[in-house]
Amino acid sequence: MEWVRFVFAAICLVFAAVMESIAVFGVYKFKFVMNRMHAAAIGDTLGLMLGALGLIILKGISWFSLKMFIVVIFLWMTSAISSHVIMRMEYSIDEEAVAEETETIRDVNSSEV
Amino acid sequence: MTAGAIKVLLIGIMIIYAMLVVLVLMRAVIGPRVADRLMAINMVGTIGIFLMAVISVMLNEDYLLDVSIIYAMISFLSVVILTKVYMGVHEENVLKRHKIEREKREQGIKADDDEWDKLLKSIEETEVPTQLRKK
Repeated sequence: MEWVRFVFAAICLVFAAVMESIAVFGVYKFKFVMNRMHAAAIGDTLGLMLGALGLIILKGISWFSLKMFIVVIFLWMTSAISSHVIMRMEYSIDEEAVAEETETIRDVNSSEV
Repeated sequence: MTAGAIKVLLIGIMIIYAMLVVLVLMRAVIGPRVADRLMAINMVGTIGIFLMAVISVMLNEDYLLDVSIIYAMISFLSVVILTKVYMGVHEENVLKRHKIEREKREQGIKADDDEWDKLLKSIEETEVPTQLRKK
């Protein structure tokens, strides 16, 4: 019985690590922030859920699993919100009509975009 | 019997995640825009929370998970506040620029299109700090 639980937990944890690696790979592969954010969401949702599931299987049902559940639910809610907020910042800073400021400076008078 | 296997598994997972943290931090350093860096820091927060959970299983300390809950809240707060700060700075600069343009217009500088362009350029050159300039 112990070994069955261990095998299931190991599968979940390894898949979590694979998902997180895919997220990091996507972050390096894509060229634009919004695409990168799309890749990063994999690690924030599926990777974290699989990891938490593996740890819960390893530990059994207890206060630990309740706390882990709370962490996962909280991060599922907040990662969507923070992605939205970052994207809105990017959009409002990068408007062509006001091209300047922070790090996304563009010269209005030159034709280069 | 399983205790040794569990320990090996958890340590292996932690090593993989530590390497991923280093990679994401590199993305935060080289990311060309502010949004890249913020996104990378968000990812570092998520991985850190998971690492704390793994450590709490390995040391058999349930209370370490409370730390990770607090960490999740604080990392969310930091992302939201940093985006608000950047948007505020941007808005302030836009307002400043509009003000300068209006003052020039009120002084009665009637320029042709070319001269008006030149004026705008000079305003820009005075406005933007040099270390933020692209070229």
